[in-house]
Amino acid sequence: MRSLLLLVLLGGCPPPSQYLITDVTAAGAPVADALVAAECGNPARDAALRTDQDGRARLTFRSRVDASKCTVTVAKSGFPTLEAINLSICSTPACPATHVELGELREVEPVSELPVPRDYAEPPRMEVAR
Amino acid sequence: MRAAVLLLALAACDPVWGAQVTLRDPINRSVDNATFAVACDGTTPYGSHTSMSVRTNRDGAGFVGSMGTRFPVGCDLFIAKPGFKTHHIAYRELCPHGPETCERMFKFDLVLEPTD
Repeated sequence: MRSLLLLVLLGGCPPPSQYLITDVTAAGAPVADALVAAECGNPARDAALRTDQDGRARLTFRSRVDASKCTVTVAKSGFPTLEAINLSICSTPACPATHVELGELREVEPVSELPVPRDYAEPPRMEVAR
Repeated sequence: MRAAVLLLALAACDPVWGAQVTLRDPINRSVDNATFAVACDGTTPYGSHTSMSVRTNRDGAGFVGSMGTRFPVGCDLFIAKPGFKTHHIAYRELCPHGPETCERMFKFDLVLEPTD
């Protein structure tokens, strides 16, 4: 009876939190205010945070998630968006951080003026026989 | 029965906040599987809140939100997908006059520009 009561009590406890720690950098420097979002296939378990001044985001999952089913998105304006799978998720905030390096976004050059017509772009002139 | 009706009526009055987005590309195709997130920094009370990120469906639509009387103070909206430029809408843009006069629900119909 006592063990049954203990089982019921333990069953009522929430599962331990899990953590995903991410350090976001660009050219080796921390990137603040970047999005780090984790989608694990269950909306109740999806989390998102902005990185702090050190480029770090510490996502907390209040219920158990399967790390192999999580996709992590890292995004910031001016940088290409990255998606990653199979990141480390731990039951301790001392979880080793996953390092994400954002590359540079290649901007498309705006067309400032029309191209200069060249000789070879002109249609051939035809003599019309009368 | 009366209690159930009362419970339903009370639940219907619960305040909610949220943001809805519909995404298209420049040639008017829906953009699915994009990340739409409300992201706070780790210092706010909402920082550890979950259910803040969703993927857009095949119609390019997504919704994030929860119960509460106001949009989470200091939290920003992000729309991101590889191959497209990221939209970052800061809280100060959503609520330029502060939380007291801020809307609770937002709706965005956005065109995502490819990165190249």
